[in-house]
This record gives sequence, C-alpha cells and structure tokens, in this order.
Amino acid sequence: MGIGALSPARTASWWEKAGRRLWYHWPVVLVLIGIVVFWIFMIEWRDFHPIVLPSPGAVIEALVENRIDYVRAGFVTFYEMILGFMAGGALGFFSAVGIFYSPFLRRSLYPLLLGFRIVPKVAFVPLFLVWFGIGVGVKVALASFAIFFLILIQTGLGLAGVDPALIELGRSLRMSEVALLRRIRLPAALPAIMVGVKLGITYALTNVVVAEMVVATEGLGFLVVEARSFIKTHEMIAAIFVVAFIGLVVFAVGLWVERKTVFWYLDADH
Amino acid sequence: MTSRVSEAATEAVAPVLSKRAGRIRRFVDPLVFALLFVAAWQVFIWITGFHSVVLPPPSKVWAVLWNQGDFLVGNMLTTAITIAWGFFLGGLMGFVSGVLINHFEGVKRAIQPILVALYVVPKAVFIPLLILWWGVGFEYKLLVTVLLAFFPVTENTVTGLSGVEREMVELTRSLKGGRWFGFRKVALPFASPFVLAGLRIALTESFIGGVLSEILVPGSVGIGSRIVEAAAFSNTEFIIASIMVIAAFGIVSYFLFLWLERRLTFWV
Repeated sequence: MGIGALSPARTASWWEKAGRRLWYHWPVVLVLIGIVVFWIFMIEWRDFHPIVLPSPGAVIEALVENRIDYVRAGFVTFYEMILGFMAGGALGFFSAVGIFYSPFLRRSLYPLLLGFRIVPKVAFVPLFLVWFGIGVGVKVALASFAIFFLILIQTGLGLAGVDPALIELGRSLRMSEVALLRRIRLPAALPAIMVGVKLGITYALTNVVVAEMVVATEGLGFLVVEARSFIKTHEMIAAIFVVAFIGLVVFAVGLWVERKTVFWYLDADH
Repeated sequence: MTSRVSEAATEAVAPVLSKRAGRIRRFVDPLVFALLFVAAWQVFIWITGFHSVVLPPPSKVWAVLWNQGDFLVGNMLTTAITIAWGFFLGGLMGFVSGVLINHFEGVKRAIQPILVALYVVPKAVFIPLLILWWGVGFEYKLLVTVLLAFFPVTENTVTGLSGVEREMVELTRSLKGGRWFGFRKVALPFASPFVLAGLRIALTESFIGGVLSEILVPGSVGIGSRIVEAAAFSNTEFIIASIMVIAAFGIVSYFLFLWLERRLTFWV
C-alpha cells in the first residue's frame, strides 16, 4: 500500500465508466417493473387490505401530498447528521493520532476499542437520553458515537499501514515529528481515512434515523414511526422510500468526496 | 483490495511487541487499562458527587450485575438465539447469492445494483413494515437480523470471487479441472478472506439487528426490551449493566469468530 505517485493517463473518466456500468445493468429495470407488477397483482387479485399493502398509487399520492413534511423533516435529519458526523469524526481522528503516538494506549486501549465495536451502539440510546435530552442531543450523540469508532479505526489502520520506506525518507531529510505527521503519515493514511469518511456519512444517516425511530420526536425516522402508529401504511411506505432515496444520495456524496480527495490513490494500480 | 462499500479486508492489528512478551501483554495491557478506567470512574463520582441517575458509580453497576445477573444473562441468551440464527441464515444466504451473482452474468446484471442500493440504505426504516407484516415475535426479529447480516457477506463474496485472476482460472481449465473443481480449489480459497471479512461485519450487524429489533418493541423478550424498560424507570445502572452483558457476549463471539477465521485461512 504505497502512494500512487503519478496517476496514469486516464482513458475514460469515472463518470463515463459509471455510465457504461449503468448501461450494463439495464436488466435491473425489468426486475423493478416485475416488483411493481407483483405488488399490483397482490392487491388486485389476492385482495390485500390497504392497511397491510397499500397500492402504489396511494403511496405516490402520499409522497406528493406530504412533500413539505419530508423537506422539513429532512432538514432536521440533515442537521443532526452533520453535527454527529463532525463531532464523532473529529473525536475519532484526534483520538487515533493520540493512540498512535502512545505505545501504551496502542497496546491497551486500541484492542479494547476494536472489541467494543461489536456492541450495538443503539443500546446506548436510553443512556444518551438521560445525558443529552430528548431533542437533537440524543440523535447527534448516537451518530457521533458510531462514527467515532469508525474514523478512529480507519485512521489507526491508515497510520499503521504507512510504508516504512517513506518514514525513513522523511527521517533522512531530518523532518521533525510534526512535519513527518503532516507531510508523510497523514497523506499516506488518507485513503484509509477517506474510506471511513465515505462510510461515516452513511453511518451518520443510519444512526440518526434509528435514534429518531427510537426516540420519535422529529425527523425522517419519526415520520416513518408516526405513520405506523396512525396505521397509515401508505404514508409509512412513502416515508421509507424517502429515507431510502436520501440514503442513496448520501452514499453517492460519500463516494464523490472520496473520489475528489484521494483520486491519486483510487486511480493508481494496486 | 478494498471493497466498494465495506471496510472489509482492511483490518489488521499492528504487531507491536515481540512474541512471548507480546502474547502475555496483549491480554494484560487492555485489562490494566479497563481496571484503571473503572477506578477513575469511581473516583470521579466520589469527587464530583454525580447523581446516580445521571451516572451511577461502578459499584452500583456491579451490584446490578451481581444481584440480577441471571435475569440479564437469561434475556441476553434469548437475544443471542436471534443473533445466532440471523447471523447464520443471513451469512449463508449472502454467500450463496454472492456466488450466484458472480457465476451468472444475467443475475449480476439484474440484481447487483439493487443489492448495492439496499446495502447502503438505512435498513432500520424497513422495521415498521416488517412489524406490520410479521408481528413482533421471533420471526420479525430474525428477519431484521438476516436483513442486516445478509448484505456485507454478499458484497464481500462478490468482491472476493471477482478478484480471482484470469490466469488461475485458465490454469485449472488447462489441467482439465471442471467448474466445481476450479471453484473449490481456486476461487474459494482465494475469496475466503474476503468472505470471512464480510462475515465479521455481518456479526456486528447481527448484534445490531438483535438488539434494535427488541428496542423497537418494548415489553417483548430479550435484553433490548429490558433496556427500554429500565430507561422508563430511569434505572441507569441497569442500562449500563445490560450494555456490559451485551458487550461480554459480543466480545466473546468476536474472538470465537477471529479464532475460527484464523483456522480457516491459515495460509494468509
């Protein structure tokens, strides 16, 4: 895992590749049509009650009708997401650098954190409720808690995986440790960190939505749970579609950010 | 080496110490740190006099673990059954569909984008729909867990299998090895580190599935529901004790998995 020093002459830009990929996967359209046909079939011929399975038309109607609610809830979710991502990301990043420079912490705390990753963070929601209140706090807390681990581990991986030859080079140039960190270690660790950032944006959304579903005061997750408690299944499915769509957008943003920052790594051959 | 959507196969704990000293200190050092942490926590409570609803001292958490340990572990075992089945079924289905996607061009073209899309979408929002269709019993919890465990395994299986080198495939062909032979002797050994990395993520996801599905249906069986109830009574020490029980189960299963992984991929 070295640094791709010079990116090779590119024959096709990444969006051209993406376009070709989309074309390659055209049978997906058939599958999606099949799913909708199956859906309609279940309602028309198997007489499913609209509460159990509303018609696609009702879902679309709900989507159009509640569009203002989605925008409003979307802003809340977005705000919580960004706060959680920034807080957890910064904390994770600086903790990782700190742990990296302390051999004791690296031996003692790092394995604990690795092991602790398996504990579902959502179990902490009741605790965060007590600590940070029912508003924005608990959602931001859950998101940043989850992202903290992700960024910490990815940064740790990146820093541990730096090519020793590069460090030697820096040392032979009599770089100070600060310069070494800034000019060699962090740039070389950036691809791993950016994997964390890419996934972290998605994690942030997932965790904020989960917290909104558990605590249920506002936001997109709340819309889903609220529609359920009023047994308005068509509204619930509409809200699910909205969240799913935003999830895709958020992931695309993550890919884009990664592509923009570590293009020199992604374009190089590995 | 990195897969597009997961952090698979990027994990490596850097070896820091020499062999024998390392082996002992690898267990002692984290233990020392954990004990120091608990001690600092207790002293912090003594000094600041925090209200125990906000942050109970470790002694109170210990009391809960001591007095209600059976109850907690019993509930955790219920959850663990969901987690284990979900992990097993989700992992198996993920592996099989990964193999199918890689072997049949049509399947790949038709469903891979859907699977990738579902992977990156927050799947928790589907939970209310699953409750509506399957109730709040074991089936529903199993479905949530399978739903979460399935995707990382599929993704990593595809990544691993598609990385098998062309030359290797041609070599087996030239040796008159059949498709099954090539799969078993070449593709599978090559892909297994990826598959196992996917399963490791799936294990974490299964724990989320098991606990989250219970948290969303309070009054049900399992440790997640107990946490929600404790929250209603502001029983903070009980919440922390429950989290510690989950953590203990999680870490034990994680190490079991790592051990198994090392035995299965001894050549890496």
